[in-house]
Amino acid sequence: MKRVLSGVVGLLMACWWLAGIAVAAEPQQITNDGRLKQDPVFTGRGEQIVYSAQDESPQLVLRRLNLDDSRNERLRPDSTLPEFRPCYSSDQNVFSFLQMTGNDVLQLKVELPLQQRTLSIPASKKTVSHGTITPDGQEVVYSAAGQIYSQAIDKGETKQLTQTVGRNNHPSVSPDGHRIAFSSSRDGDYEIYTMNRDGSDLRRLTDSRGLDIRPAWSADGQWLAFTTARHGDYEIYAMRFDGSDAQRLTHNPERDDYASWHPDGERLVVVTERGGATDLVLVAFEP
Amino acid sequence: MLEVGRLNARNCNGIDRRAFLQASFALPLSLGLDRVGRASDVARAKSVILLWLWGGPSHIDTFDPKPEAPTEVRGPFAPIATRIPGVQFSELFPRLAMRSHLFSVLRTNVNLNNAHDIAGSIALTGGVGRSGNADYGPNLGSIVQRVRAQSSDLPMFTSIAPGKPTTAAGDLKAFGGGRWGTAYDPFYIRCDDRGKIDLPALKLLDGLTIDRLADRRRLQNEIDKVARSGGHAAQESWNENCVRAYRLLTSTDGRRTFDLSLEPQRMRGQYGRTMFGQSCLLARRLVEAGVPYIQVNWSKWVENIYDGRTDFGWDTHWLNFEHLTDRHGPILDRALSALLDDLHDRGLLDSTLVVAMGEFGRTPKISANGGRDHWPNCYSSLWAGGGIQPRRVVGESDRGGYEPATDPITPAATAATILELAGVRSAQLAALRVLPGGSLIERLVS
Repeated sequence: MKRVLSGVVGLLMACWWLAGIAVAAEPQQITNDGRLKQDPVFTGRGEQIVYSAQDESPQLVLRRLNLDDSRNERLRPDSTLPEFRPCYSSDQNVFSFLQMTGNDVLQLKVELPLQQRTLSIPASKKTVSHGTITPDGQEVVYSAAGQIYSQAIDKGETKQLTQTVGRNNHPSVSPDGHRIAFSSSRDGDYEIYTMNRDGSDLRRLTDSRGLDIRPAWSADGQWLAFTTARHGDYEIYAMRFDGSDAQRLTHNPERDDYASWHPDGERLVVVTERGGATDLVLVAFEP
Repeated sequence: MLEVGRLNARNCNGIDRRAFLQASFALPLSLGLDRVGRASDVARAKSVILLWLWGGPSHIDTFDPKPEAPTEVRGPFAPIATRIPGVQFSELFPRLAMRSHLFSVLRTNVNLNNAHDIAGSIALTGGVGRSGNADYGPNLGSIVQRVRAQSSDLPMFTSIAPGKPTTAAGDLKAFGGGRWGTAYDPFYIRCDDRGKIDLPALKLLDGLTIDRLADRRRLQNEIDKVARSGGHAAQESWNENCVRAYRLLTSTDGRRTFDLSLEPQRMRGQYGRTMFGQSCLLARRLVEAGVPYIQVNWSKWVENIYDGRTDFGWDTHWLNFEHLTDRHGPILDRALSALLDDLHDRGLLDSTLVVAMGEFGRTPKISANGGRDHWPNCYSSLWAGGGIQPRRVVGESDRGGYEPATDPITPAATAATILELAGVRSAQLAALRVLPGGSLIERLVS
């Protein structure tokens, strides 16, 4: 009898635990058109999300979604060029995105509304693969041809931060501006690393079979979300800034990718594929 | 959703001469042209689906990874196991890796040129033109169209594509009939990521709507008017073609074939809500309807980075690894896996040849730009169904993926194998004076 009772209790506890996981992992869908999407970021205090999405012509456009009234509109409706990977400085005064301008020409455009000017980085006809703005809005950090660079917005000085074999990509600057998280294949497949703003003090944070890419800092700088293929398809994980306490945030047999933190640190926006449709969802995070 | 658009004609009651000529060139259904014998009754593939990966996928980052190669060759992707012992794919293709019991992989394709338009023409015809590069033979689909007997109102050679394949430097030459003329060009169908279908060849009459198309008697009167107004052979041919093309839409079966909304949402999702995914689903519906040759084009433009025209081809000189991670890998993995599953589940895979290939591979050594450039010396293609023995890897590339370590597979052999399985015999090719010297890739079929 005692054994049966303990079995029932154990079963109930397991059900409660599984139910807890199911509730915690249930994402909140915030778009429903099903078209390809990527690169969502929260803006301001988290009331809007800017992302890039499949369109007719051009085929990749920036869109802005208001979370309170679900209004969804093109961010730059007059643009005729493919645009993606939006990024804002902490004070929202500097905005950057990638723009295709010609055959094999992809530039980081940095809009400085207060100065009423737009920079193109690099100025030469080279192709940037990923770009981000430092929280203070003073520099851009970008990857090009497999290496990571930083460039002061005002002075235009460029520093090469990595010089290794393999690909170095997806740079993301910590909220305090001191560290850069990025993915690199220098040791095999893509793993997550961090380094100082000047490229020093390299630390490897992940060691898994399969790609680990697109690190994204939480607003308090304590956590990094990233995409991993360690389970086969793409899933979202979060780990502490030193690589410890890795947690799986999505449990979806299809693709989950492009995680970005809400300023409150309690949820992330993720691009998810469900039933072949690609949409944005909010995923809760409890450390 | 089926949409018939507008065009350059004056109005719906008459077809002006310009529109008439456009239509006669646009519609490939040429019953009036002589056929060269009948295809063999033992054709193993009643239908062929060629997934045309325009731009040239990297073989190393797809189906021939080189994990032991130096960093500057192997790239950042981990290899994953397939269901074929000892055979690995790039980690970008987990679904296909799980389905490797359904297909075989060729790893020693070679091409004769490293320019997209020329290499693409060679790959789609099996060889260079009679008088050099400027005179290409007909597309393999055009040959099938000419040899196989018409069995329905549906076009024999259909291309599901956002437009005629092109590059910043010029159009792909051998997209259709070539020296045989436009009558053997493919019947183009556009299918977007939401499954919206557009038939450019039927944009003949201003204000034409699907409801008006349904009025067959009125439509026939319109066509009869055109036939009476002219009288020469071209007009008669056009008339016949036009009747057939319109019948496609006015018949219940024809309209249903193109209507992806009739598919369960779950099935549409399986293929992915992408242009390529929905195009693959449409290809399966065309197979069910009896269309013998279907070419699904990945993109109109070869370039992966371009201006507002880009639709993300496989030409990844820059951002090879980024675009394969973000778009190309997941989209192809999902769509092709769904197509194979779907054909298999419906009992159609044995009678449908599915080939996925581009015009060449990409350089094993990563370029200074962080991408991979054109590489016709050695690349991969994927083959399934229609007489193909599955679970095989045919050919072996060298340690770095630079050259074939075993016998190279030429475009002529690739073309000959597709045509042979589609029931086109060498005697028929000889009579048509196309594809001399191509031989069956025995290890794929025996």
